Amino acid sequence: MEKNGVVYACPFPPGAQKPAVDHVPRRWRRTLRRNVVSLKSVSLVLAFLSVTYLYVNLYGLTNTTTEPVLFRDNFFVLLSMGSYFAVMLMWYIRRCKSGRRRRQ
Amino acid sequence: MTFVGGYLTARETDIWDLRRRHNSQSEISRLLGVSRQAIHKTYQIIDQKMEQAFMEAADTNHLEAKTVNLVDGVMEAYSPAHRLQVVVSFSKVNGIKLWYFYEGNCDGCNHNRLCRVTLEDEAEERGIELSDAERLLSPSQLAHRIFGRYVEGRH
Repeated sequence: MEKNGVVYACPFPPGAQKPAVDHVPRRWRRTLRRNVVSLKSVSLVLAFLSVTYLYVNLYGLTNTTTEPVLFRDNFFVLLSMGSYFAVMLMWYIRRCKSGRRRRQ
Repeated sequence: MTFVGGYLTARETDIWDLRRRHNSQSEISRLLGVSRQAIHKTYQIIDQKMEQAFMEAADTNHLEAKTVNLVDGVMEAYSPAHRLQVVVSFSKVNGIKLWYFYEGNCDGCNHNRLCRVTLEDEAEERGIELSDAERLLSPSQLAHRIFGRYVEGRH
């Protein structure tokens, strides 16, 4: 079967029974899934949302003052949220930079 | 770490990809914020893992490995069962894939579109510019345009 000047290549060997293809996702979806929806990014966002949700819901139990100061005056909460966003931003910028460099 | 992913972690895959794009160890270390020695060690781990993955791919598909290019992620092999030249490719986007060098009949094949998007992604990742004329080729011809360059003059 091998011959000189062959200009074809196929992922299936000759005579293979090819399985059916259900769906081919669009390019932007595949790119998004590959670049953004990684296990790490999704788990980081979920962790942030769940911690924020818990904090907001439990705030009523821990707040002994009558004033609702939820995010406004709580220095440590603001600090941790700010740190979280800063780390996420740095990670994302680094990821974008390395991606841009890779495309060069 | 999976077989399809060449047993590489996400970080190792990124480093491998940067090396393939002709970045030096120093450049990669600067980019990732680690030492050059760490990158050097990672290269060795990447090479070991990828070689293992390629050899397993050859073994499970009854191929005879000829040459392995760990930098480009391409192994040239031969299938005695089909008497065909085979290229085993590795990329970030598609993982390990096998390409048999023969006239695959793309007309009426239900994998036509899947093969095309797979190959377009492969070309993009490998920095291969596809012309408009090439984009109109059948996937089997396109596959040869992309992978044939790694085995040119050998078949």
